Amino acid sequence: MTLRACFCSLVLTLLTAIGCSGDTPTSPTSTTSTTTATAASPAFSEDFIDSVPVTGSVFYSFTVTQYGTVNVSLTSVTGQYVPSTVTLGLGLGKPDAESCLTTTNISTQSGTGPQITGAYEPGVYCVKVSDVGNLFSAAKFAVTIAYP
Amino acid sequence: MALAIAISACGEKTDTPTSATSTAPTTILFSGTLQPLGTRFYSYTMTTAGTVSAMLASLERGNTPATNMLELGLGIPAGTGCATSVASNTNTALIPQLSEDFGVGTYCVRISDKDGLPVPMNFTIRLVHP
Repeated sequence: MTLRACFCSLVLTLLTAIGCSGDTPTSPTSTTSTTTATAASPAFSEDFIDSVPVTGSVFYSFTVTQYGTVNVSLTSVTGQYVPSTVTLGLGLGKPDAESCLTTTNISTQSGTGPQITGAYEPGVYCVKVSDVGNLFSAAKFAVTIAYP
Repeated sequence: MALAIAISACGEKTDTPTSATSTAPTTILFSGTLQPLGTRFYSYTMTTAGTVSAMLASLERGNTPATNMLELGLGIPAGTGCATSVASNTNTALIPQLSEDFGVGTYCVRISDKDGLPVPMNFTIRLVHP
């Protein structure tokens, strides 16, 4: 190898090293932006008026079209041998198979409420009313569901 | 030769191949007893948009197959029932009687007796969704 050829080879090797060194990853920089969605106030209301059997449950489905506040109020309980102060199960969740798969559950008496409130994403939800072991006969009830 | 080595060295950086993933469809068998003039529905959630097919696979009076017409529908759970957006009067078949495209969300399949079954009958609906 001539001196000239050797010199060219050396230059090329150095250039290659520099070129490859350009592949060295640089630390990624990220810009995080936090947006806080504002929960819309309830704009719609539906009344769920039905009867819950002894040891049984019933549910009602509704659709939330925007992120916002959902209020569920058990406003009245009546029936033969059913005191108006009886405690029933009240739940909020999503329809699943032949029932309502609740994610929020409380035991409550009727009142002006709301007994359940929270912010929910758009989707189909359900309210379930159930006997928690207090009923000796079917209870008629009224639930008001307010949602955005 | 040096150039070839140089190119070869730089070429070590390779891209990781990506492959499209496909999710297997979900099959639901909804079985129960339908009362005369009764309605039953079943809710399910789709996490991927696509075509839903529903088939009234069987209807039996005791252990005897029945040919009564029933209404099969697809829709959204609403109130105490299932509000259907598409429905068909059908008897049992081995092919889907309903097929419709839906987006991500919660839906329901409904079976109703509009004509009045002579007795309660056992049914099975086969539902396939993405």
